[in-house]
Formats: sequence, structure tokens, C-alpha cells
Amino acid sequence: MTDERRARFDTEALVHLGAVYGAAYRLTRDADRARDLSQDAMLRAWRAFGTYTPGTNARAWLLRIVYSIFVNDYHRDRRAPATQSIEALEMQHGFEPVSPAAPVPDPWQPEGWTEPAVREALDALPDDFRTAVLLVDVEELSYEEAAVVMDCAVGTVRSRLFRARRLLGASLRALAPAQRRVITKSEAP
Amino acid sequence: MSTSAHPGEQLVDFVDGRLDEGAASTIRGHLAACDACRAIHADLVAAQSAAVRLRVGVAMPADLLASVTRALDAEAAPTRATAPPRDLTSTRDLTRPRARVRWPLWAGATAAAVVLAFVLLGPRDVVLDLPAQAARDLEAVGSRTLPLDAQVSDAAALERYFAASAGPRVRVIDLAMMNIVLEGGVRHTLDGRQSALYSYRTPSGARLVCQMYEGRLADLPPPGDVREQNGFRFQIYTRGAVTLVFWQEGELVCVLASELPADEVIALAVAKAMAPA
Repeated sequence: MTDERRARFDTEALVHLGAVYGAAYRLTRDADRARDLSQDAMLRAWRAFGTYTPGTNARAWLLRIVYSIFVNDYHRDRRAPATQSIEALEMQHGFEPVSPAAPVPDPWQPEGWTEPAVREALDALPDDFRTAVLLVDVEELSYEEAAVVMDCAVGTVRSRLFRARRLLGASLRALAPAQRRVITKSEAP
Repeated sequence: MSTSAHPGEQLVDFVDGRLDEGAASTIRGHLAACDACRAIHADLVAAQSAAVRLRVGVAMPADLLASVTRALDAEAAPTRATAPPRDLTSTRDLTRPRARVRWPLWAGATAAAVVLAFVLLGPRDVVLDLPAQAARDLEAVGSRTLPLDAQVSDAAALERYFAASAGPRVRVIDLAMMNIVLEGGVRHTLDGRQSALYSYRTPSGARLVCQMYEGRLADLPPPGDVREQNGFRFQIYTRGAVTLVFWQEGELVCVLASELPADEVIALAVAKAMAPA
């Protein structure tokens, strides 16, 4: 029975180890901590495998475990990089709840952005907001699945996504001239 | 300026296609008239488009699977120790380490399937785009998951090997003048297309992998950067720590992939791109 359980675990859960590590890395931003988090998550998943419903989204189930450990054990670790509050970041960008009087930025396209630049802008967001973007935009979970992972209401996911994406967009837009200068410099003979 | 209510957070539902047509139409109408909301919408769309770039797999440490498997074995061991022996008449030496006999053959097959799944699916269980697959191939050559069938350091000899095997006729770029040594090559498949793959090592030990396949640059996803030089268009991608430079030579698309600094990879590609005779 145990061997059968283990075989099912291998084919349904362990195959997602790469995705688990990727999510852990994005959350912790550190290879060693991502490794520990992945291993912890897989062991807890094994212990809780009886609660997994076959045929459902195993990756989402594993991400819930990853996120739970991250929040409870890793996120509170003092090694976690400090970020400003979402309100402070919004104030920094001059956001208002509705800002019809705010100057309208020029239309822009994110083309040309490198992955490190995007990651840096995302890493500046507080964890709850960064995680909403990671789960929905990177891990491709639905709002409902992300809500289960983050143990919050779907409306909270929507709210976090709205504020996070708005800040991410504004950060990338604000960085654009600096990035262009870097590219120009590297192109110089 | 629109006088209708600003949609606020509902814009994110709109961007993600979560609204019914009636609600979406109302928002489209509002956006057409409201500069402020149009600007917010543009930021939301741009941010989502940027975040999607992080979907590429993060390279998993090579030994993590083995490490997790060992931990799972240890976790499962107490349960097994209390299980009754399968064959009470067995003369098996019970002092023998259990790890050697713990798993039946099918379990080995399962483990192999797990490993194969990682090789085929990569770090994520989604289909990787072609640049990400080429980046994974670089890693696979380094970890010997993708062995080089022809291990030769002579470019002409490797060209003869490719000419003798099925697949597109390719040239092998000679980087010997730059002290970059050819390791060998193999016929491979990149995103379902037959390719010729060959690998180099730099004096510092860094690896470069070149692949050539029949195709068109235009079929690639939007690049992170583009250089136009010597009549060639170089499309540049970053996948994890890997820089990939794609360019077209006649019917062939060439890609050079390495964890070397991006400028060095780009410079090598620019220096070695060659129009077909």
C-alpha cells in the first residue's frame, strides 16, 4: 500500500518538483532557501498526500503548501529583504484611489525589458502583492486558485493584483530611460 | 473626461478577460473617454506582459531530485519497517540495508519516468518557448543529460558528421582563433524541429552551445533586444542566466546560447554570422 502511495506521489506530485523549486525561488529570491523550501514542501506534501484529491490541480495544491511554509517559516525570517509598504510605494508614484487630475503618462510598450529588470521591479513590492503577481501571471493560477493558495478572498487577490500591477507598470515605466541608457552604453564600440 | 464611474480594480478583471461582454463593453466605453483610466489600464497591461516574461523555468539544482527522493525514502521507512514481510519463507538476509530492496522494479520505472518528465517538460510543467528550450539544452549538455554523439574538436570533421546524418546541412562555426574549443555535436530536436547542436568550452570553462535548424526568425517570440549588424538581424533573449542570440542564415536559424556575459555572446554571434554561399 505504501509503495503504491509512493508511486502515485511520484507521478502526481514529485513530477512538479521543478515547478515547486521555481516558485520557491521566486518567493525567497535565494537558491539555498528555495532548495530548503522545496524539500520541506515535498515532505509536507507526502505527509498530507491523503488530503489531495486525484485529478485536481496538483501543482496548485503544492504551491499552496509552498506558500504556507514560506509565510509561516521563511517570510518571517529576518533575512527576508525589506520592502516598503504598498501605501508608501503608491505615494511614491503619486497614486490616488482615482486620479483623473493626475498627469497622464505617455503611452508605452514593455518591449525590450529584460527579465532581470522585471524581476527587480517585482521584488520591490511587498510579499503579499508580489505573490499575487507570481501566482496569477507567472504560475498561471486562476484568481480562485490563487485565493486558496494565499488563504484569502478572491476579491483580495483582485485588489492585490490591481495595486501590484499598477505599481509594477509604473516602476518599469519610470526606469525606462535608465534602461535605455544602459543598452546604449553596451552597444558603444 | 468621462463622467461615468471609474472602474478602479475592475480594470484588472477586464485585463484578464474575467468580465462578461456587457461589463467589458462598459469599460471599453469608459476607457475611450477617460485619460486617467486609460493610463492605468496601459500600466496594468504592460505590467502583466512584463511579468509573463518570468514564466521561464528556474533551473533546478541537479541534485535536488535525488535529495528529495532520499528524504521521502527516510520519511517512508518507519512505515515500511512495521509492515509484515512479504515472504515469510524468504531466506533474504534481514540485516542487509533495506534501501537496496525497498522498491520493486516498477518503482524504479516510476523514478525514471519522473526524471524523464523533468527532461521533457523542464523545470515547469508547461511547454517552454523555443529560446527557453535552447537554454535548457545548454544546461543538458553541461549535465551530460544530452550527450554529444560526436566528440571531436575539429570543425570540418564535425561538419562531415552532420553531413552524413539525417537533418539540415549545417556549417560548424570555428572559434579556435578565439581559444574557444569545440567539444563535439549531436543531431537533436529543438521545439520539434531537427537541429544540429554543437558545444564549445572557453579557456575559463564556460560553455557555449550553438544550434541550427530550418525555420524563420519571425516565428520566434518577441525578443528582449534586437541588433542589426552586417546585414543580419540578431534577436536576443534572456532565459534564466542564459543569453541566447538568434540570427538567420538562408533557410537556417542559428542560435548561440551561453551563460557568458551577454555582450560576449552577442559579439561572438555578430562576428561569426555568415551569409550562405
